[in-house]
Amino acid sequence: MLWIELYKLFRQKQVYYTFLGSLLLVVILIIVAKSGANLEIEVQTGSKIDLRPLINAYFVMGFTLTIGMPFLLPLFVTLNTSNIFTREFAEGTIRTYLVRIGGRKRIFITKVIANLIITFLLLVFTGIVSFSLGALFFGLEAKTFISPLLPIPIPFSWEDNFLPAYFYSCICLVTIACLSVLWSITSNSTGETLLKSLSTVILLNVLSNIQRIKPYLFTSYLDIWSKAWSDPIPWAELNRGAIILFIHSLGFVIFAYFLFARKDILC
Amino acid sequence: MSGIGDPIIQTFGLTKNYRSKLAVDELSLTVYRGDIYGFLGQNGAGKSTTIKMLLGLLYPTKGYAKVLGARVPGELSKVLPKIGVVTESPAFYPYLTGEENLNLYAGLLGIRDKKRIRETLDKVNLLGIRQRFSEYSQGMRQRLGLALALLNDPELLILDEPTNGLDPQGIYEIKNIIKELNREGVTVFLSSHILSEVQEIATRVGVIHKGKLIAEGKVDELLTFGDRLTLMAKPRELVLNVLIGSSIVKDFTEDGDKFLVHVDKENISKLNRELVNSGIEVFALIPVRSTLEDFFISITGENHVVDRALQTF
Repeated sequence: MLWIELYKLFRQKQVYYTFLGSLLLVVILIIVAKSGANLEIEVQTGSKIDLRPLINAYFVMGFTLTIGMPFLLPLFVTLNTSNIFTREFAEGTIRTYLVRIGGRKRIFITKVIANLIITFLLLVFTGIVSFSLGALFFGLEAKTFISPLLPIPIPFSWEDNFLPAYFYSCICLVTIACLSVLWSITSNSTGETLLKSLSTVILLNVLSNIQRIKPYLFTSYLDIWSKAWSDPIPWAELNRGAIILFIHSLGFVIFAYFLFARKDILC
Repeated sequence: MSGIGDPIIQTFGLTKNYRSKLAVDELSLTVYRGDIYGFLGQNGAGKSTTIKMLLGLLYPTKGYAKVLGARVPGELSKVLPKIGVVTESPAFYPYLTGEENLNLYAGLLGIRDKKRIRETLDKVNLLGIRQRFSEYSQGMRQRLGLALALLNDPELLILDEPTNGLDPQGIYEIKNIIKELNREGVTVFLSSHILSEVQEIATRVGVIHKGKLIAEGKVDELLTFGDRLTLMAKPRELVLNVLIGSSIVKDFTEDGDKFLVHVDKENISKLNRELVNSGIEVFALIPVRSTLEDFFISITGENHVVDRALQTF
């Protein structure tokens, strides 16, 4: 059943748009870096450093995450979730699925797993594409400059920085995916799911400026992946954030299941 | 086959409210094994809502149903493999062809035999069509829906307006398929508002009106001979004289070489005597059986005139 769910997913061109979007993000980053755009930053001493000579495949890979995680990657994840759930409601295919296969729990669990797989694949794809294109255009050579102001440490550590950054960003995106599952159960169109999911994140982000409630909002932890670039890396803080996000993800999915299990299929 | 077996579908006070609108009201019906059960009602009467409740797509506000002995919706998934369903507008994945859609569901149903899939597509005249479902006409969609319903040799076929969008040839084919399946032992629950179609194939019918089941029974019992006769006699002038002058004839119309006469059942032989005694040669005096349409209108009209013989539930 999971294979069929994935088969259906990959037969939809909308899914490829999200992968294409990730690819475009990387391509645009590379074009900007290659075009001689101003990539200077001012360090604490007041002097300016041109980043361009420092750019390599790892830089591109890290910077893609920095640019993509605040909005674009969550957007793509939400789009894929909508294709898994909302589209079936909107087109009425969920009705055929239910009356032929039955078992709402089984269908829901399969769809959630497919959703997690596509989220993971999207992130892996983004990482591979950014690294490959980065290597193609800028090489792999390690640079020697280290600055706390840079988005990633140079020289890097593959194990200490890149893998944790991608691992924790995966947890962040999974939380977004689970939130989208919840909203997609209650939506009638892909646009509605997108609007609800991204509005929730944006509104909670604004609310997180209130320090008293900040620790209770999951959006306060959606940037934990960026701490993988810190020196030293605050592992305890990272893990705490990951656990909180995991609990929220579980909550979203359980709540979504109860809504789905009792939902009247009117289409 | 007709109404001779154990109950296959039973509803017990099934009720559905959409906020303030009562869609189905305390519906209790029974479909027996071997029936072709015509579920009749106007658009918006509650037919589709009832079917969706039977299939676990909608949750009843009150009451419950049993399908193939399983309580709905809790135990429905146990019996779903024995049920074939055609919904009002069959929905398939638009980006797949009909065959791909059927393959997908066959895989989920554990059917690995590709020959079986092709045979089913052939049965509904869709074999070899390479178009995506999104490019299908309404008739093709209905036929693909029927193919999916037949894929797993169902014991029970639930059809919601199955001839929706079909051309006359398609309607004829679907009716034949239904009759053939029923002969093979498949129980059919058929919802429709096209009464002539249902009358032709149904063995039992239930009539739903404004969410309530207002009549249920065997078609033969419901469509009794009424108080209208077809009279064939000559000479015409004498016949006209008798019919006009007779105190037992309520009214009559002339249709070519025959007359449609409205007369109470107990006065039929008296009318025959009057005609013969007047020197009229009577060729035929045939009671006219009411149609499902007559019956339907008689019980769903503003003034509910339900014939005693029709109240069989």
